Amino acid sequence: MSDDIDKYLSKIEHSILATPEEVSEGRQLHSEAEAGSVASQAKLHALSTRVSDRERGSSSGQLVVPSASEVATPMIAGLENFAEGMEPQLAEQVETSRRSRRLWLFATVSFTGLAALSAIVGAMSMVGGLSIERTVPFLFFAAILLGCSVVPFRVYQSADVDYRRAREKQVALKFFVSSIRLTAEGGPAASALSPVLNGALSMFMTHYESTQTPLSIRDMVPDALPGLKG
Amino acid sequence: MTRYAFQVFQVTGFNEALSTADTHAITRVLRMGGLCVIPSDTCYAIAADPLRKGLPEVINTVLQRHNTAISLSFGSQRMLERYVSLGYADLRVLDASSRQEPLTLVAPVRPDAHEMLRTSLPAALGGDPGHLGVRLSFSMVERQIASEYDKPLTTAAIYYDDGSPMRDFSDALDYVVTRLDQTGQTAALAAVRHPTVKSGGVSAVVGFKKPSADGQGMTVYREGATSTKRLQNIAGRVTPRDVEDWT
Repeated sequence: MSDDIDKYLSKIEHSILATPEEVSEGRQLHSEAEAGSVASQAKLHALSTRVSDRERGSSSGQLVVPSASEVATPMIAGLENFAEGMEPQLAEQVETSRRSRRLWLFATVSFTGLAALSAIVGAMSMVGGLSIERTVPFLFFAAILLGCSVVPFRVYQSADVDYRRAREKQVALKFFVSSIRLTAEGGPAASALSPVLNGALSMFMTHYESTQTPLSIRDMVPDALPGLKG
Repeated sequence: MTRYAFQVFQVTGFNEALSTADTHAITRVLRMGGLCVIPSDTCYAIAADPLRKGLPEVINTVLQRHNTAISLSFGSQRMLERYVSLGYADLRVLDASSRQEPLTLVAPVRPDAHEMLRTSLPAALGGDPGHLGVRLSFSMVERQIASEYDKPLTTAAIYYDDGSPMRDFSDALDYVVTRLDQTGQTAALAAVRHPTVKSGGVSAVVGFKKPSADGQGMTVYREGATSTKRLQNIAGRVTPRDVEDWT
């Protein structure tokens, strides 16, 4: 626990975006937390998160579920529509890249198989007593086929990466959909679930737009819920 | 005497990505306030957390930059647009940039950003008040680290004494280690070994005084691999992205 509160204070003290008031408030909360105050520790964590969000340029772009249910319901419905619209699009992307991956893998295997067959026929002919002049075309053909198989293999590799990224996006979307459902079922407590929803949307958008973002446990459990990280 | 720890990581090609473990190790160094020598678009550069107190000064000291403005490198366009406002002309030149024609945009910080972000960050980086030099790198490693770090990185190019950019890993690492020793800095250091960076020139640095749809008001801070005339043509040309926005 002491490590955590030191980390929170260090985050605030080292940031050029923390105001002097926040730094002094952070120091005071840190000393109270060291004395055993759980409330001060929670406040220090919240302050550190606020500074971190500011550093990420997201202080004003937070997704917050309104506490009034008549305003929150249409907002959650809008998010549900958005996620529903994304689902078929991503499924199609996964299916297309999966088909392309399979096609190019088949092409690679075919070229390599033909190359191996030509090489075997060439070798068997040589063993069978055929002259070198007659076996050379088989071996030459095998070499060309092997060379040609490099192209579909490279395309296969690229299709494979596309497929895996599309799958990652799909996982991120599923997490986002689950968090929308959780918020929708939250009733009067829906507003308290804002950090979960905000984290899920942010994670989905990062995976949707970024070229290379492997999934990690940090993505699955938003910063706002440190206790769940174990 | 060496007063800092350093780790070296390796990628074997320009499009090669770092492993997840290596990326996490590098972001840990950055989080601790360390420096990282990484291959950028045109040469090796020092990446660090620009939002950490004192780090831009450390970079200026190590690279003897005499407080030249430091640009920021982002992991994605979405991340970039969380910090700065881009107009049509900015987006057009950004869309047209490529590995052969890298680009740094000088753009205003978003008006709805926190007051501290609008004032402290440009001041720390030494650029025009309220403006940031931003870029989307074509170096896979740079984009990957910025994405994983979820914050922009400094991208300060390392130059030889004659002013030419350092494209060789050993030279870049040797230079940074020597300068850290000479200046008595104690920052942790990570470095990414990479085949020699191949590039024809430095990145062009441009900015637009106000959001314009015709590319007028362009300021060229540095003419790099892309000529001013070409940048003006690109900035004034309507793209499918504009049409999509207008309709």
